[in-house]
Parts: sequence; structure tokens; C-alpha cells
Amino acid sequence: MFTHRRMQRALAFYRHLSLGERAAVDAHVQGCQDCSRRLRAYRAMDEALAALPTPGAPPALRQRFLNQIQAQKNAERASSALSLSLSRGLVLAGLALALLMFWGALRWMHLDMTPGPGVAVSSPQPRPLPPAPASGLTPVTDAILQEVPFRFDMAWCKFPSDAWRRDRLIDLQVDQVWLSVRDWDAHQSWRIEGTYHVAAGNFRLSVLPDFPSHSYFSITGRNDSLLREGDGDFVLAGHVSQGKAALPASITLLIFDREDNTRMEAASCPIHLKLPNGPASTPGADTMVFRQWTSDDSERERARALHYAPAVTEWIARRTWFTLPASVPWDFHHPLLDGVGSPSMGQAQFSYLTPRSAEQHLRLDWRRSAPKEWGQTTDFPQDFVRPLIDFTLPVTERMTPTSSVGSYEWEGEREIDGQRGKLWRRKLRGRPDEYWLLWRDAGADLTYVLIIDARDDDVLTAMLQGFHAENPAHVSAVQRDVMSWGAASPTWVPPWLTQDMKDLAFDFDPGQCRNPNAAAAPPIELTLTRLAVNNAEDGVLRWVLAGEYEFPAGDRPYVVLGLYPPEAIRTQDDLPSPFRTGKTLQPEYHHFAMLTEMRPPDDGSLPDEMMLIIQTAPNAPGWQCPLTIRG
Amino acid sequence: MSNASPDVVLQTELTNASSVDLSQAVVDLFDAHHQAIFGYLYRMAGRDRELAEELTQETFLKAFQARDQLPRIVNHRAWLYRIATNLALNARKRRSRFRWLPWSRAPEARTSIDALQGAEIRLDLERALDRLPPSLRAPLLLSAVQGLSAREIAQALEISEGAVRTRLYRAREQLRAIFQEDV
Repeated sequence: MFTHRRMQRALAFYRHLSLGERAAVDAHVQGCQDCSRRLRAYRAMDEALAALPTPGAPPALRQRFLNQIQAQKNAERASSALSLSLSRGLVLAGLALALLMFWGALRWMHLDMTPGPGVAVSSPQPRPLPPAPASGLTPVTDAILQEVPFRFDMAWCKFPSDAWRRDRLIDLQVDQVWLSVRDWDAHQSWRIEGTYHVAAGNFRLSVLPDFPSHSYFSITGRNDSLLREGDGDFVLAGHVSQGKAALPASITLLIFDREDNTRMEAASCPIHLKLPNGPASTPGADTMVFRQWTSDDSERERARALHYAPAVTEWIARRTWFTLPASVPWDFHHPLLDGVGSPSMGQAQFSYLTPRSAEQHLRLDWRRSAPKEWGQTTDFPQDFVRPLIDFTLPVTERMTPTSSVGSYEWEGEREIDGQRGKLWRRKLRGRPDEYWLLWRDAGADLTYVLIIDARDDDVLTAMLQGFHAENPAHVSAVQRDVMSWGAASPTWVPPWLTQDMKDLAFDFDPGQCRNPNAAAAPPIELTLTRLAVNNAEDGVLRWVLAGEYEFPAGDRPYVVLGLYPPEAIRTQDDLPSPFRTGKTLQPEYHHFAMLTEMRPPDDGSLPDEMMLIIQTAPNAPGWQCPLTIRG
Repeated sequence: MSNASPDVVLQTELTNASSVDLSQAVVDLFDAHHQAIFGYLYRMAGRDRELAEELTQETFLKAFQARDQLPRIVNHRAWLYRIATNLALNARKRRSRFRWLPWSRAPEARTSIDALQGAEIRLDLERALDRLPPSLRAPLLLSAVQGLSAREIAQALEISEGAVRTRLYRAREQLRAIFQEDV
């Protein structure tokens, strides 16, 4: 038995056995079916691993490497030149010192020999020490609330090599950054914000300091979403809290592409700061001027928030649930959001910073029509709450601040973008100026969660005005989207997909669907309303398929859609990424829109047929339905 | 034409010619190995292409910075993989501190049809490989994909050859378990 187990184990590194060991193993395997099977399995594993497709390193990598080593050589040369001149200087200084000592000795001997009356010999006065070499951290002792406006060069941002993603980010221009510093006990938190343009997409932003890691360190800006719409300036903000009273010499701006969960970091922008009394700046640094926050700043923030409120409403209409984006001025209770669930049931967790502790969490669980929330929100110091600035708008509906705790449901249903839903408001204990707003549209795949500060009543009002179609610009934007998507609601479609998509005429007959393992037709009624494709010249075809469907009454079958080229021209590369492998249809809804990415055929042409796969059981063959592309 | 590997040629040059330009030697190493190193780092970095590029570049930059050691290094390939592995592990540690929470944890249903079964298995295998701890993923990749000998793997990972064998066994068993669990 011992030998068998030892031999079995040896199969795992069969290739690395010595000749003698291998002969012994071979002899054992010949008489052992289990080992023989295992050896075959290991070989198959090796073959499969070796056959895994691996992208080649980009050709530009070599040039980048050559540039880098050239820079390294230059730096080495400069350093050796410096050390050479230093050593020469040291030799000269040594000679000078020796001469000086020689002269001093002569002088002393002379003085010693002829001491004159009244000559006082005093010890030399100590010179002030030169400043200590600057470290990467600059202590900040008097920062109560400081703002540090500075500029940085976007050329420092390292954008991804993926052309498609880079193109989406190309208009990102952070041209002004404000660093707000607050000092609360040992904890500091600071915020970076600026204006930006984003061509398309939905991004989260984070800022990271260049500190070595610390046990207490959190990033609260990671879920800040940058608003998508390309026109106009928006504000970005990220918060970093740190457990040490210091400002970083540099920070890194991270942008996370939310449409593509496979990426953790879409861009990295090292921003080099130069503090008034800090160390010498790294290249790209600019001088900062500290100044105090004023009431004018508050007004400016408020006005800006109102200005962007319509954009917020539009953003809201695209998300299942969300936190209020950074365009509204929030401070240290800026929420984090992590969530999981479906429209009918799920959980969201919000984290935000408090002045005296690391993070607070609120958890929201929801079910179909009975939202329930609880959280840990105590221990807020009352003096933390900023005084409200009286700012009113001619509003038709306005929330009434209340001092009690609980959830409030707005009277009756409300109509939002033509959909009726219920809106709840939740007031949190200890935070008289914070509300949660929940809105669920039972007729669509949407649940909205909004956390809002009472200071932003006006923003809320503006938002509601936007919802109520009092903002013509907003209405026209929504209508345009709806029109472009026909029957499919725009809310299911990543906004960037509406750009540069080419609609294709196609024929689809559900009667043509075939499944070799099933006699009956697919169990849903399916109508396709749109087939579009976007070749972004980065070697990837992006297909959008939209349509309507109806499940059989009372039935809830498993239905997943997939879109593929026909088998005859399909290659391994045509497979969608694991994150976009299919669209699960829910009986509650009737519209769908899905995205599939794949490589185009070698000749760059579009296939004249696509294959819709309707799968009705996990890991089972599905119905294959041809979509004939006309023209 | 010589059939010697670039490593052997380079070693011979470095040993015999004291005036050889060590910078050029690193460039030669880059030309000979960067594709393989990139492929290895791509897997070690969880199929993050940009990160793999970055790490590949860093690997050779570190090699360049340590070029004075080149004449004393017997196996340049193992040496490069050692640098690459250390960088990959460090990058992983760095990233784990700032791991993004997934927007939705609900796994999407997989589409599977007969014709795609092989590809589905490939995807499953890739996912299973991603889930393998780096300490086990590295020796398996170095052995099965990169074709390194046990001694080279030991040098690259700075462990004994016995430890290489143990890890290979554990890696295979764990990969099999993950794969079966997924499928």
C-alpha cells in the first residue's frame, strides 16, 4: 500500500523523475489501473494547460523596455558623474582642510609663542544644522480644514494599453484637483476632486497615497462613479482616510471601469504633490497654496450640485441601485456600496467614514416590495453636523426634516419616467441630516436607493423636478434614448453601446430553432427587436441583441440566451468572455438587451448569419436559432 | 548553425568575453525570454494582461539593474523566472490590500452547447487555475507550460527540489478538485 501511494504521488512529477525512478514507476503503473488512469489524467492536464491560449506580449513592450533601460543608464551616468565630482570635491576639500590645519597650527604656534594681552579664545559657535533629508511623509500638524488647489499633468496618467478602453477614457481631463485635509484625532481624511470629461462609460474613482501600508487604512472613494455624459464638466471626488497625521508626497488616481468587472484598475495617475514646507517635489509637482474653507466655497459647491442634479437624475435612471455620486458635495459620510442580489431580493451594504472610527456600515436588505433596513449609525458627535445654510428653491414638493427615527413612505405611488413606484425615506439615528430614499419600480428591472444629506434637500428637489420632466434637456435626452432603443428600455443597456453601433437588418423565425435533444419548441415567446454591431477597430466585434419575451403563465423556467457566430466559422476566440456568457431572462420582465463580444473573422467581414442559443437547463445543449443578416 | 540555446550562447559569451556589453546581454535575454515570461506572468496575474505587461517589463528592468551579476549566474532562465515570480507574488499582495468588491456576486449562468463544450472546459480550467494558490500555481505553470526542469523550478521559486515535487503533487490534486467542483 505504501508503495502504491508513493508511486501514485510520483505520477504528479513524472516528467521530473530520474531514469531509475521512472523505471520503477512504469513497472508499477503497468499493473495498476488506478495509477495508469491517474497518469493519463495528469498528462491530459498538462496538455490542456499547455494549450490554454495566452496572448502574446505586445510588440511595443520591447521599445518601452529599451527606453526604460536607456533612462536607467542615463540616471546611472548622472549618478556616477555626481559621485565623481563629489569625490573630486572631497579630495579638494581635504587638501584645503589640510592647508587650513597647517596654517592653523602655524598660527597657534605663533599665538602660543606670542600671547598678546586681551586676546580671548572662544569656541566656535555651532552652525544651524541643515534641514533633515525629507522623507516621503510630511507631517501636518495644524490642518483643521484646508484646501489645496493644484494642477497636475494628465500626461502622468498611465492609461491602459487596451485601445478600446483607452478610447473611452481619452477625454478624461482632470485639470484641477482640490485636496481637502481634515485632522480628526489621529485620523486624517482628504478629498480630491476636479472637473473632468468622460467620453463614455461609467467609472469609479479612488485615490491612493504613496504610504507604506498601514493597518488602519481605508479607501472610501472607490465607489464614486463618474458621470458618463460627455458634455459638460463634472466633479469627481475621492476620499482617503489614513491612520497617520501626514500628507502623502504623491497619490495615485485609480479609475475603475464599472462596466467591466474584470478590471481592477483602468488608469493610474501618479499625482506628485509639493507641500509648502514639504520635501522637494517630484517632476510634475506644482506649488500649492493652503487656504481656509469659506462660506463662498459652500455656496459654490451647492450651486454646482444643483447644476448637476439633472445629470444625476439621468444617471439614476440607468442604475438598479446606487449611491449618490460624487457630484453632490458629501464629506466624510460619503457612502461605499457593495451589493448583491436581484431586483426582487438582495442586499446592499454601505460603508462610510465617521470622524472617530474607521468605517460605519449600513446594510440594506430588500425583498420584492418590503424594504427593510437597519444599521449601525450611533456615536456621531453632534458637533460634527455642519450648520445648514438656508437655501431655498421654488419647489412643489419638499422633504420635511424630522427628528424622529424611522422609515417614511411617501404618500402613494409616484410616477418616475412614466413608471409608477413607491418611494421610501429612511432617517437614521443620530444623523438628523441624512436620509435614505428607496424607490422600486415593480414593472421594470429597477430598484433605486439614494442616500442623501439633508443639506442637499435642494438637490433632491432638483432631482425630483428632473424626474417630473420639468427639465426639458433631460426629457429630450431620455426620449432620444428610448427612441433609439425602440421597445427595449434604455435602462438595461450600457450607455456607451448607443455610440457608433450599426443596426443590422435580420430575419429571425422561432420556428427555425432546433435542439437535437428536445422535440418541443423553446418554452418562451421571443421577439427580437434589434441586432447591432460595433467594430471598434480594436479587433473585437461587439454585438447587441435586444428583444421582448413572454414566459408561459405561471411557469418559471430557466432561460439563458447566448449569441454566437454559426458553428461553421466559429473559432475559440469567438467565445464571449466568461463575464458575458449569457443573458438570464426573468419571468417578471419582458424586455432584454444583451452584449456579446467576439473576434471578427480574419477577413474583417461580418458573418451573414448569427446563432442565438436558448438554453433551458444549466450545462445542457440549447436551442440553436439562426439569425440571418440581410445586406 | 549552432543549435545551442540563447542562454547557453549568452553564458559562453559572458564567461569568455570580459568586454561584453552586459546591457546588450540583458536585451538579448529580453528577446529570448520575454514572450514566455509574459505568458507565465499573465497566468500568475490572474489573466490580467496589463498587469502582466507591467510585470514583464519590471522583470527585465530588475535584471538590467542586476546585470553585473550576469556572469556569475548559471541559469539565466531560472533567474528570470525567480524575479518574475517574486514580482507576481508582490503584486498580488499589493493588490489584495485594495481588492475591489465585486459589483454583483451572483454568477452569471453559463451558456453551454455541445459544440462549445471544449471551450467551456477551457474556460473552466482557466477559472480553476486562477483559483489555485500562487504557491501551487507557479510550479505547475513552470513545469507544464514553461517546460522548466525540477532544478530550474527549484531555483526559480527558491525552494528545494523535494519541495517542488510536493507542490506539484498538491497543485495537481487541488486543480483537479477545483475543476471537478466547478464542472
